[in-house]
Amino acid sequence: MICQRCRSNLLSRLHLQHVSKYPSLLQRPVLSPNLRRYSSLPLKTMTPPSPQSGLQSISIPSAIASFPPEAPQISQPINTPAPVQSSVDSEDPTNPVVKRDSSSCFAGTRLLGLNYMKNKPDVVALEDSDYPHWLWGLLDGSEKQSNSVSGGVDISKMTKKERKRHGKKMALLAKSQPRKIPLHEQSIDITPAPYNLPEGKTNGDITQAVESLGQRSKITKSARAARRRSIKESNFLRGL
Amino acid sequence: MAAIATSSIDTSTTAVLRHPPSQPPSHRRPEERRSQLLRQYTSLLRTAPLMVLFQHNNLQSVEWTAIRRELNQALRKADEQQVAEGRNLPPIASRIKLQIVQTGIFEVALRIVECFRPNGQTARLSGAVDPPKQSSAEIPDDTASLTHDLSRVVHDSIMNHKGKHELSTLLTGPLAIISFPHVSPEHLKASLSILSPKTTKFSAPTRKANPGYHDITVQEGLQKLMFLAARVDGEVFDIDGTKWIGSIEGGMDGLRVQLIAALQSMGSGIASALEGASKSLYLTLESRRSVLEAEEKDTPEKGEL
Repeated sequence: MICQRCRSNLLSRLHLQHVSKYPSLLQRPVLSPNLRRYSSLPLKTMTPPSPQSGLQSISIPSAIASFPPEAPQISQPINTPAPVQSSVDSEDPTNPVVKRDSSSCFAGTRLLGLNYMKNKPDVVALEDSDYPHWLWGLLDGSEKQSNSVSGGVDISKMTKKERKRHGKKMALLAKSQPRKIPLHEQSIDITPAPYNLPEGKTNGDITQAVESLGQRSKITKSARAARRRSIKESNFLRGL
Repeated sequence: MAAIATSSIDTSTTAVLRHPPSQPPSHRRPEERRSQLLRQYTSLLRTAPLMVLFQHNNLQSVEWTAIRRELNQALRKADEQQVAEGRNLPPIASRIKLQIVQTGIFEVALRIVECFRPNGQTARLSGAVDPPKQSSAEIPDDTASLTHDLSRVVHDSIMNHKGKHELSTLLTGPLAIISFPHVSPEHLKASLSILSPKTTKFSAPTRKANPGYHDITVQEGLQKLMFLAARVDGEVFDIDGTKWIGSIEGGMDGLRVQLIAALQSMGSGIASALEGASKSLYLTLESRRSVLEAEEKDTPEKGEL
């Protein structure tokens, strides 16, 4: 049933594209700023080639709603492909708690360039609800995290001069701080003896064994990395 | 003036740490490899309740690799068997590690773990509590109160125990250990059936079941590996003791079941023994009563006559 609908949908769209005398208006939703709200990524990367992307962007409901009233002859036939709009609407009540942007790739879109397997059918986009929930939050944290790492400063937005100054400042700050002791130079116990443990704590369970095993391997790795670094350094200095 | 001076001393003692928290002062420099190995070995000895010691004689790296491969396979099989039997123990195959240790440092670590017990814990506490006495003169006291594994106190006190540990006679020459995160007889049996099937009499996998084990690399490597002893919960076990541990069916639970069965049989034995005495008493009394009754019956008859 859906296939049939899709077919009629597509046919009507194709028909519209061929008949339409206003190609610039058709492309308009792609460029319109209120579409930007719907996907954080630029549309070109998310969607397959331009004729299709033009068609898909049209069927986003609010894009249609925000159409200027001076283009009624276009909005009229576009409104006829209802199913996509209804599916988007029906999705909202199922997930009322997390309000998120809808994907710019509609269900059933052929995703070009992802067909890595030989003799396998093309990869086709699914419904938004079919994807795991963490997918939609992937890009949210990245900016915040990078900011927190560099102390709330976005280095990528700085000019070259500013970046240099910032680097010098951070180096000075790091110098004033006490030296961070690497794992392979610490002298504290990995697994404290019972007489060194605080009151009420005991050791000897399996989780502690696992933990200490991980810590021991970390020490070995840290020592190895330091050794490699020093060898590289000495080799470089010898070559001078 | 004096008040200002004392207050400044107080602030300095409270604010300034004399050493980084992760690097308390130690007898040997912590950057050295032997210090790090000592740290690791003490941790290993504290967290591995079961370990088996082997002597290794010039094994090549390919042989080690092959042996470890076979060992991992057997241990994973033991894990699967555990799951199949329905016992909810965590899988430990990936935590069991066969590793070469530096014998001298391992011996020291063993002495630290088993022989050192601090007797001056109260002294350490009093030194930390009393703030006005913490002046520059007391810095050596502060270091003397530290009892981490690399500390001078520990080093000095275990010097006297050199060669007195019961494992110390075995701790010579090249040493390899296999360590288990908890005492698991099945995993011990599986590993011993791979590493030393001849000495422990745990049957090695057959050529048909596991052809990889009968590879020439594995077999040549195993010939150079010699079973020395096992250390279980701080006790040293020889070959017979290790064989006994490996032969416990069903792990610790199995041992518990055996114990319960023994206790139950003993209890029933005691009960029957106690009952037996009372029963025999009852029987003798009963027989005596019947005899008396018979006599009583006899006497009136005689009176009538």
